[in-house]
This record gives sequence, C-alpha cells and structure tokens, in this order.
Amino acid sequence: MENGGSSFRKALRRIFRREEYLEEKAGLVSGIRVVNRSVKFSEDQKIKHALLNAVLLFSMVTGVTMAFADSFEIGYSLTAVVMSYGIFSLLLSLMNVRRAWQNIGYILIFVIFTVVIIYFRNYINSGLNGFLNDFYVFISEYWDMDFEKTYTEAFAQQHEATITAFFISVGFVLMVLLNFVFNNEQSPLTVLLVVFPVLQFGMYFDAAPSVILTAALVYVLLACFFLRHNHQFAMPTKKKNTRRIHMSHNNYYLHFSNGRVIAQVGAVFAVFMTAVCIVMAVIFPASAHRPDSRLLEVKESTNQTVRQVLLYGFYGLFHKDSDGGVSGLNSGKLGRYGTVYSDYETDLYVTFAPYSRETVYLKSYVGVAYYGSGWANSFPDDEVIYSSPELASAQDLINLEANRLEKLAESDPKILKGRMLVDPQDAALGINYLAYPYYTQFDFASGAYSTSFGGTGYSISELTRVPYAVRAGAYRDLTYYVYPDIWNSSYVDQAPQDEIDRFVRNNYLSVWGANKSSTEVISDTRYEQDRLNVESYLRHFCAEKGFSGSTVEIIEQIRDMFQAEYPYTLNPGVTPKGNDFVTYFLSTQKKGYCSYFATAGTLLLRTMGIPARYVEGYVVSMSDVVDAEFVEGEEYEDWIVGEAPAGKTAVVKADIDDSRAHAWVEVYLNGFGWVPVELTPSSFGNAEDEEFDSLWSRIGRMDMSDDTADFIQNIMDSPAGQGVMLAIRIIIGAGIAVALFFAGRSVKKAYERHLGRESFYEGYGMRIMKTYSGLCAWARRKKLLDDDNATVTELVKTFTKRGAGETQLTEFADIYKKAAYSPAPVTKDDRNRFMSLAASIKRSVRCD
Amino acid sequence: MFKNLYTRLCYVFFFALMALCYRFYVNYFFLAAMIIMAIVPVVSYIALRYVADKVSFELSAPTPIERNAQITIRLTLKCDAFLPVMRSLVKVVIENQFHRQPETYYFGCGIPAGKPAQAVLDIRSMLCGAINISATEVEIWDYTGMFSLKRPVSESATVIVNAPYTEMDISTEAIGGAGLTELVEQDTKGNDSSQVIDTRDYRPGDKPNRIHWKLSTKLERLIVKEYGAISSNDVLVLVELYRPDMTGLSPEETYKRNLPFDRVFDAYTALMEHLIAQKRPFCLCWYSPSIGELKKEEVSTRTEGRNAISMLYYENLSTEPGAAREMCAKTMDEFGEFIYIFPSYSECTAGMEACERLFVLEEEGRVLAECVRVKIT
Repeated sequence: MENGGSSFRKALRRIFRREEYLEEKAGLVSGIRVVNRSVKFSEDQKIKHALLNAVLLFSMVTGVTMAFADSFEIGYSLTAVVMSYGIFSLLLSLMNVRRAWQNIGYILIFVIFTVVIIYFRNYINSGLNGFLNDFYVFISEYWDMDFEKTYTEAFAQQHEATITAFFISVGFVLMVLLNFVFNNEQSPLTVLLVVFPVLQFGMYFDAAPSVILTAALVYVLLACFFLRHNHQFAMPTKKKNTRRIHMSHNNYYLHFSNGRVIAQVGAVFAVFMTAVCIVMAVIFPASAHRPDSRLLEVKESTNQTVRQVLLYGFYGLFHKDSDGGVSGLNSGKLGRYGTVYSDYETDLYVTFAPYSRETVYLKSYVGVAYYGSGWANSFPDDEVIYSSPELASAQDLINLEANRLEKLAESDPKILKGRMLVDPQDAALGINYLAYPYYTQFDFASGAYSTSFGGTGYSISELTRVPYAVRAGAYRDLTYYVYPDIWNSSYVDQAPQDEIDRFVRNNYLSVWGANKSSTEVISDTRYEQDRLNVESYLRHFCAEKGFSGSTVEIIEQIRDMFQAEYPYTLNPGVTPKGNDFVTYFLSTQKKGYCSYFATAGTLLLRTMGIPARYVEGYVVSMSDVVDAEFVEGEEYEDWIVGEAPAGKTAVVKADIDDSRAHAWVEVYLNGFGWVPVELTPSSFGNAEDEEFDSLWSRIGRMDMSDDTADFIQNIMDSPAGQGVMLAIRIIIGAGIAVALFFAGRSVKKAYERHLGRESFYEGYGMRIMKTYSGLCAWARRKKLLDDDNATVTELVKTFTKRGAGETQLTEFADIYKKAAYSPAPVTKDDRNRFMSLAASIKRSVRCD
Repeated sequence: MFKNLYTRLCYVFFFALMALCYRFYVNYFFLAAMIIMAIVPVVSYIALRYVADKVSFELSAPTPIERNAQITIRLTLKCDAFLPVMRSLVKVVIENQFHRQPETYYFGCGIPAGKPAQAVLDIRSMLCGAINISATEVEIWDYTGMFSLKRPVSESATVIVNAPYTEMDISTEAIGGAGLTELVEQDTKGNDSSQVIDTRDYRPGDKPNRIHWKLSTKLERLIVKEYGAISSNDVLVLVELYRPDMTGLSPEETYKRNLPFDRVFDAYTALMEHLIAQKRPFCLCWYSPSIGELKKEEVSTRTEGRNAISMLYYENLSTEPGAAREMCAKTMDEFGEFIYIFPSYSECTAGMEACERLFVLEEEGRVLAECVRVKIT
C-alpha cells in the first residue's frame, strides 16, 4: 500500500513537477550534470537590469497617465509628474536587485502610501474631482450632452496642483503593479492590456495623445515583445527567471543576456523607425489619408452603447426599456426597472412661442385604472358608455376643455390660444401616443386623424387613446389653449355640473380600478384581495398623514410630504415580485422617480375623494427653451393669441429628448376638465446629476459632504472615538510588526541562500554542502589549504596531518561524498552528524 | 518550430489588432502601424540573411580535471557584420566516450556587432572518462523572432576526467618487486625471432612493424607476429575494462551499475600514486577488444600514469568479463604474477576469491572495485 502510494506520488511529481523530476534524473546515465542551474547575476548586471526596468516602467506609466491627460486636455504640472515618476520608477526598479529590498520596500511603500492617502485624501480627492470635471467637460462636448456635472473640489483654487497630486498617486499605484509585471514576465500581452485601452480611449473621442507619448507607449510594447521573445531580459531576484537553464525533453536551454546587444538592436530599431517615418511622411503623409466616411459607421454605431457603458457602467448594457429600446415613457408599466436611463436621442422637435416661464406639459399616455404593477388606459368594464347633451360627438369630448377655453377666451384675455408644431423623430416612433400640449383642440375635420369617432356613446379607452388615432410620424400642427390661472378660478372645488362630471366622479375615485388586463375579470379573488389591501393601506396612510382640506390644500400636503420624505432618484430599484407598487413605494422603498410620485399622488388624491389620473408625456422646461434654436421668419402673433405672461417672445424649436419624459397627475375640476398637477419633488430638474452621483457612488467616490465630515469628526473627538482610534493604531502597529517580522525572515533566508549559492542541492544536502564550504573557507583563512578547489580527499589529508581524528575524518568524508555524489537521499541525521563532525574537526585541527 | 509559431501568431495578432482598430477608428496612426508592421519582418529577414553568414564561434574547455570537479565550457561567439544578432542558439552535445549517452545543450545568446559574446556553462562529470564537447549547429533568429536560419558548424573540445586520488593502505610486500612479470612488447623491427611465440592472420589495427613479411610472402597473406612474455623486474598492472550490458535499466540503476566500472579508475589512481611514491615504475596493461589483444604503457611518473589511463578512456569496453585477465595469463610465463584491477561485478569476481587482495574500494558498504595480486600457476 505504501509502495502504491509512493508510486502514485512519484507519478504525480513526474507530471506536475516535471522539470525537477528531469533534473534529478539528468546525468545519471551520462554522468554529466549542470553545476549551477541558477545563474547568478553580477552586481553590475543587476543594476543594468534595474535601470532597464526603470526606463520601461517610467515610459509606460508616464505614457499611460499623460496620454490620458493629454487626450482629454486635463491640466497638470508636467515637471512634477515626470520627476515623481522618474524617482518612483528608479526606486521601485532598484528594489528588484535584492529580494530583501523588495520585501522591505513593498512593506514600506504600503505603509507610506497608506499614511499619505490618509493625510492627503482630501487633496487627492479634490484632484480626482477636478480630473473628473475636466474629463466630463470633454466628453460632454464630444457627445453634445445637454447637461453638465461638476464635482466639488475642496481645493478648487489649486486645480492643477490637486490634479497633479492625483496623477502622482495613481501613477505610483500603477507603477507598483507594473513593477510586478516587469519583474515577473515582461509579457507583451500584459503591457498591451494596459497600454492599448489608454491609446484607443483618446482616439475614440478623436483625441489621440501626442506623438511623443504614443511613441513612449509603443516603445514599451515593442521592447517587451522583442526582449521577451529573444530571451534577452530577466530580472535577477525572481527565482523563476534566475533558473534560466531550463530543461525541455531532456535538452537544456541556456540564455545569456547581453546589454550591448540590446543597446545595438535598440539603435538599429530607432534608425529603422526614423527612416520609415521619414519615408512615410514623404510618400504617404497623414494629410494624404482620406478615409471613406462609410468606414466610420462602425464606430458611430457603437457610440451609443459605449456612452451607455461610460455613463452607467455595464449596468447600462442590460437595462434597456423593452418598449422600443431606450425611452422615458413606460406606457403605465411600473416598478420593472431598478434604474431609468436616457439615451438622449431626440424624441420630439417642438416648435412654439414660449408664453411663460412655466413648464409646458406634453401629454401622451393616460392611465385611468391602477392594477398593482401599472396603469391601464381603460376601465375593466370598458363597455361603460356615457353620453351628454353637451356633446354632439366623441370629438367634442376629446376637445372638451379646449372648446370650453375657446369660449372663455372670448371674455378672458388671459386665456391664450397658441400654435405648436410637434415633430416626432425616429426614436419616438416606438411611442404609441402622440405628445400634445394642454389643451389641444384637434381639428378632426382636417382628416389628419385616421380614426373616426361617431355616435353618441363613447368608451373611455376610445377617448384616452385619442392621440393613438393620429398617424404616427406625421408632422402635427396643433392648436392649443392655455389657462394660466386656472387654480384661482371658480372651477376649483366646484360641485359636479353635468353628466360628465358625475361620470368622472363615479369612475375616477376607485383606487383599484382595473384588472391586470382587459381580458381578465375583476372578480378574480386575488385581485379583489389586492384591491382591498391597497385601499385599506391608502386610507390608513392618508389618515396617518392627516390630509384634509380643499383640493388645493390636499395637493399641497401631498406634494410637501413627497418633498420632505420621499427623495427623487433614478435608481430606486425594482419593486419585488408580489408586492403592490404603490404600497411598497410609500411604505418601504420611499424613493423613486416621476412615475412613482405620479402613481402614488393619483391614488392618494382618489383616496381623498379627488378624481385624478396618471399621465405620461414630455415636459418642455425653461432650460429647453433657452437651449432651443430660434425659428427665423416667424412672427409671435402667428403663434400666440392673447396676453402671454412672458410677453412677446421668439418662436423656438426645442429639441426634446427622452430625458424630458415625465409622469404627472391630472386632477379633474368639475365644469372644466382635467388639469395637470406636479407632485414629483423639485430635484427632478437635476435628474442627470443624480444619475451620475449614484454612478460614482457605486464605484466608491471618496468625497463627502460637510455634514458627513462633521459627523465623523465629532465621532472621532468623542471618548469612544478616541478608543476606537487607539485600537486602530494598535492594529496597524501590530500589522507593521508582523510584516517586519516576515520581512526579517525573508532577509535571513536570502542571506542563507547567499551562503549556499554554490550548491544546487536542496534540503539537508544543501546544508552539508554549505557546512563543507564553510570549513574549506575556514581552512583557507587559517592557511591550512592553498587551493581554493580542494577536494574532500585533500581536505582530509591536510586535517589528518594537523591532528584531526582519522575516524572522524573518514565519516566526515563519507557523508560529504554521499551528499555530493551519491543519488541516495541525505537524511536529517546525516546533516546533524556532519555538522557535529565538522565542529569537532575544527576544534581538533592544529593551526599555526 | 513552435517558438517561432507562437511569435508569429503574436505578431499576426498585433497586426490584426491594428487592422481592427483602423477599421474602427479609421485613424492614420493604425494605418501607419500596419504598414510598418508589414515592412519590419521583410527587412528583418533580409538582415538575418546578411548576419547569418557572418557569425563564427569558438569552443573551449579545461585541461584534464578530476571527477566531480567543475568543468567550465566557454562558447565565444562573434559577429563580423555591422548589425548585431539579437538571438542565436548553439547546439552543443556533450558525451562521455565510455557511456555514450549524449546530453544536448542549447546556448542562447545575443551577439553584438564588433565584440565577441561569451556563453558559459558549468557542468561536472560524475564518472571518469573522456568528455567530448562538440558544437554541431547554430540557429540564428531575426529581430522579430519570427524567422531563423540554421547553419552547420564543427567545433569540438575534449575534457579528460580522471578519478580523484584516494589513499589506500597498500602493503609494499604484497606488491613485492622482483619476480613479477611484465608483458613487454619489444620495440624492435620484428627481426628478433627469439621473442616470437606465435603467428596469426593480420587483423585491422595491427601495427605494420608486427607483420611477418617473410612468412606473409610465403603464404601470400598477411601474417603478424605474436610476441611472448619476457621477464622483468617492473610491476605489471592489468585493468579490466568490462561493464555489463545495462539496456533497459532505469537511470538510477544504470548509475549504480556504472559505479564499479568507474571506480576501477579510482583503484588504478590509488595504486599508481602508491607505486610512484615508492618509486616503482610499472607497466599498465589492458585488453583492447577492437584489436583483440593486450595493450601496454610503461609508467614511471605521475604524468605518465595519468596519460596512460587517459588512453583507456578511448577504448571500447569489453563485453566478456575477465577477458583481460585470461589474455594476460595466456601470454605470461609460467609462475608469472601481475596486479589485477577489476570492477566488482559478480561475473568478474568469479574465480578471484583465492587471489591475494591488495585493497578494495567500498562505498556505502558495497564493494565497487578490487585490486588483487594474481599468480599464474
């Protein structure tokens, strides 16, 4: 059994430690063995290798960091960075000369770096923010992003200095990591992985780094390629590399570096490259390069994806809206995506004359019935048909508010009549509903609308899908009315006036107004239970919050509550499966974006007895108007009729992308109709900022607010905090002590290796050889031996003459021969015996 | 081959990467890189053709050395071109003439233009013999490492590895003096017929001066003379060059089986040193299977003793145990005596029990070689 196990171990060793196995077998038949498979470098060679390493390190790290800065026009102190990198690369490379230096050096680096980071973290962090600011400005311009992000720089007045400090610290970390790479492998692939992204990153933004920096990076890459593939480079401290006589199929390979060759080949290569560059500059200069523009389609087609990745990380690759790709409109679907993102593609061009500074709402989707995970644009019993003597046709109902305003406008000059051109773009074709302003008066007679509405009864779904009836992609010229002061009008809190008001009151106060889809029945017990749960929860919620008063007051109370307790975020996370969207939002999640607030607001208003519904669409804010282009040749009077609060303005064409998609609430005012109500907290306007904050917070942004800093400072100043700090210091001190202990042990081992460098034997045999060497050295010092290469026979002979015991010497020689020449294994007893014999012989030998 | 293939694949990969980048960015930099990458291998190969014929080298090894001592092999490479060689690989075969198990080493080295480069290998031989070191081929790479050219070369050196001296307790009386017989081949022109005891047909390797011309003319075929033994006061030392067949043995077993044969030279060295110290000239004798007869070498100094033993290193080994002893006994006078050194293989020791042992060589309790006094009765 034991033999079996032993054979198995041998077989494993033969497979997995083949070189060692071959080494042991080598020379047994031929009698020829390699003496020192570990080639020792001279001090001179070590220093030269270290210098070469330093040049490569310096070129690479300088190339990488400065190429990045150069590409993106980030300001920094060139002198400080170059000098720092030069010193760092030299120090780190010199550490490779001795293993002990390496061990101690890395520990010291870790300690120093930690201390520097702790004490200068704010300064370096300010540099990081400054760097990000500059970088962000660049890519914002490149992608023509309609927003900007500025990170707080604690030392903004020292912008370049902090960025320089940041570069130095990042470069240092990079250098330490790369030092491992160069020390171990000089792998061109590794270098490529580091160099290539930096090179191409700038190029991606049409901002290639300068020629010198590019040349530095290419130089490192080619140097590693040539050095490695020609076996001309190996750092001295790495065991793997110093054992440079390696075996393969019983053959030995020896590789000898030659610095002169490297220098000469480098010179030849430089001359060659210079000549080629000159020839190319003459024959085919860069200016003669005229690429086919069609070739650029590949890059442009990836631009969107790359931007998503850059802005949102890889997360952005997987979270795309299932309805027509990237879009801000959800068509009433709720809680499905943990993060909402925008592609900033234009969805609409809106041409109009801005009549006030207020946000213009472009209505698109109307949700009337809530079913737990979304809104339906129809009630479950969609067969409900109502009619009113006021309405001659369905078109009248669609144009209800506009028709009323048309009449009011005759007596109220504040009511404006406007014209708006809404031009949907390709990106918006996936939207099933036209976006149109409040209160559009559709001209059904023009024939621009494909669906005809007839008869005297209308289903709700038919009415809420009005825009759906409009041919998608058509260029819409809309007439709309504006009632700026409606909340101060008599319509507020007015009693129901007609059938329409009563119909709305009967149908738009139900919290759980629909089944999941029109094909499912409302009597389903599960949905019924959900309805009861939600209704119950919302009633308790309203009671708990103490909502009361008029419509306006309740709206204000809800808005204030959201503002105070429910922060706005585009990354709220998904609603867990099985949870009701609105109760989960109000009770657990407590954060969200516009759909969350619009849904919750709608249902809270309904609970409070105010008819309301959920609306999705686009908003045109003042910033959009500011950024919009002026439409030349258009007169204000052709676009606005009436006294606009903003006075006479120019006609503008606003670019509305999907980031302007929004959800809000409509409240029904008896006698008038639906009025938009904004319940989303005011941070909505800074949505992009919030997006980036969350992004960078994910990757561990180091900056903190003043409040947080004060909080931490207070904790640290407290007795408990002092105790914690003391404990941390003790732990760090203990860690350093342990590290120094291991470093010392490494030094000791290195010294032992140094002593035993002439032997390639391992284990006890090596110890015997070292002891023998020590005895020979002692004998030479005592002038007992003249020959440096004394054999054991000569040694024994000499010591015999000097009075050492013959028995001892014979045993001494036998053990030595066994260790040196015999393939038999040397045991621990042999080693101990040999060492005691050596000591005994040393004592007994007479010296002159 | 595979090294080249790997490098070529790497180069192709880089080129493809540049092409891909150009397709993506349509940037002049990548186009320029592709053009340069296409030119570089061509230029590099032309340069390789140029420098390959300008490379020369020398091989040097030390003079005779003791077993287990370090042998430093120096390979000096020189490139007479004005371009350096980034990488060359010299194939060096090292072989012990006795054991015929060549070890192959590849010396990889860059050669700067105008100055020799040196590659050094330290080896040691665990067995005695003539170590033949020969460089048979040099392979030179281009600067990209993708192409190489091989050139045959012929440089060799030989290192004689002798056994170290181990002092033995040898009784002078046991060796005796007078009465021992040496087999001496008369250095005559062949006309001293009193010494000729036999004739036989000529065999390749026989010295011309031993041809019995008269008899050859008479018989119309070459006949050589066999000389008889003459009495002398010098000591005759006979070394048995026998090693059993070791085909199919493991390396460890082969090494162990080689040791008795190798320690014969230790025994010889010990005896030689003793005799030289006693100022006793002797005659070293051995059986040469290639010519089928005994060879001898007179020794009166240490240098002669070393030189004589080195002649043995070039001999073919006998496949018959005790062949030397039998041949010696056959050609000796009655009551002759000689000192016989033989490896302690069982087939050699058979029949030697009765002989007086001068000394034996032991290692780890195992007798490896023996030295006995043989009397012809």
